[in-house]
Amino acid sequence: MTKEAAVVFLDDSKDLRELMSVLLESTLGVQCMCFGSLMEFENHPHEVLRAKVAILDINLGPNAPDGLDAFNWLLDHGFSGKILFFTGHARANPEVLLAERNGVEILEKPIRPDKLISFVSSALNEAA
Amino acid sequence: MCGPVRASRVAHFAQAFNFYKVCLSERDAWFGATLAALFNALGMLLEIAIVRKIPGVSAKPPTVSALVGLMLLLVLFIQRKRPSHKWASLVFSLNTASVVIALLSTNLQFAVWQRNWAPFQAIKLGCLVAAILAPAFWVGLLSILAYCVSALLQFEFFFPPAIKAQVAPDEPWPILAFGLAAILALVYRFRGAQLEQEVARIRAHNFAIRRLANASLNIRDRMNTPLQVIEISTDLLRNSNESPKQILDRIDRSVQSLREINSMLVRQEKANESQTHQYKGSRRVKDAAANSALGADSIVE
Repeated sequence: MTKEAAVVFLDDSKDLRELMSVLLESTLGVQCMCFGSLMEFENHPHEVLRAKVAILDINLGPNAPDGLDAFNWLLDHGFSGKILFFTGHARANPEVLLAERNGVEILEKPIRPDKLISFVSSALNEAA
Repeated sequence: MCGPVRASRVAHFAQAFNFYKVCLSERDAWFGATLAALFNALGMLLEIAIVRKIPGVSAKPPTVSALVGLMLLLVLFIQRKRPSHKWASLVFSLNTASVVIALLSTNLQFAVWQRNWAPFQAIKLGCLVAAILAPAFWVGLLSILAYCVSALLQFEFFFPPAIKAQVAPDEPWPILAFGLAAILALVYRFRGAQLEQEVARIRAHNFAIRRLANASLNIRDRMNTPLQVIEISTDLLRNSNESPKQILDRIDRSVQSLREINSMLVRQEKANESQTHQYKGSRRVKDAAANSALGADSIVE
């Protein structure tokens, strides 16, 4: 976790975090730093803000701050990379739809791994 | 205007006339009956104070009515933990009967002995109080009619013509006007209560639908994460050197998560069925829908 990561991933599922890290490293050759909660995310501001792409789940568990809070935190701290929402029910949330209109990409779970890789790859290119 | 729209408007119009079926909450009905009994007790004490200054008018009827009012207040107080429409209506009706009898017993005496007697003031006040406090529409209507009709009959058949001409030349029209105003006030009150109940019902229904929609979204979210884990895992199994055991373990855990969600949905479905069956045919079907929505919420919390 000390190495500079090109991608940061926020999701409350441990299995998905581990898989995402393996998938992105094995296919795109990029380092992916994963976080299970907004608190963890905020505790690593340097690593997070230097990343090129942030992939955020929306629902991070009952009564926990969600991916939208992470999104706002990134904007407040001048994150200059590309943000992707990666969630099971994204389009029902008006705030997410507003973010989409402002250029934030929304990926709905479950998405095919090749499509996911393609989205992340495009985002990395755009951010570069 | 097309057929269905017209039919809907007719149905809405017809529904507006169902205000007489409106059932106030038991607490409101109880409170109305309590205020009416209190008004009887206090009002009749004032009547006694007036009567004491007028020789020829008996203090007995207002005294008895005040005592009846106090007894009814006591009954309402004792039964306050178990308020019911039936008891509230019964007490309100007894209270009205007590006031009407007391007033009928003293009206003629007042007409004869009180200088400048304003005819049937207490009867007119009773009409308005019944419209404001009646615990049910029919109880209010019957109370208003009891006040008006009793006063009219007394005036027509028991007041000597000389007294009628001397103290109440305009009657019975003012009594009829007050009775009509009281009935209109009663209609207005129960129509308002009907609209309030309709708004509350629609709000509860919308709330239940919103909860169900949120629960459905949360369930989708819970199911989509394990599905995503399975998708990536199978892809990695095919295309990477990652240890198959670790990947298969993740797939197992995801399948287990999906199974758990499925079992919870099955349990909730059974609970919904049993609730729907329980409430079927009753007016609480929407409560069942709201409970189901809450139950669905609990699945994902």
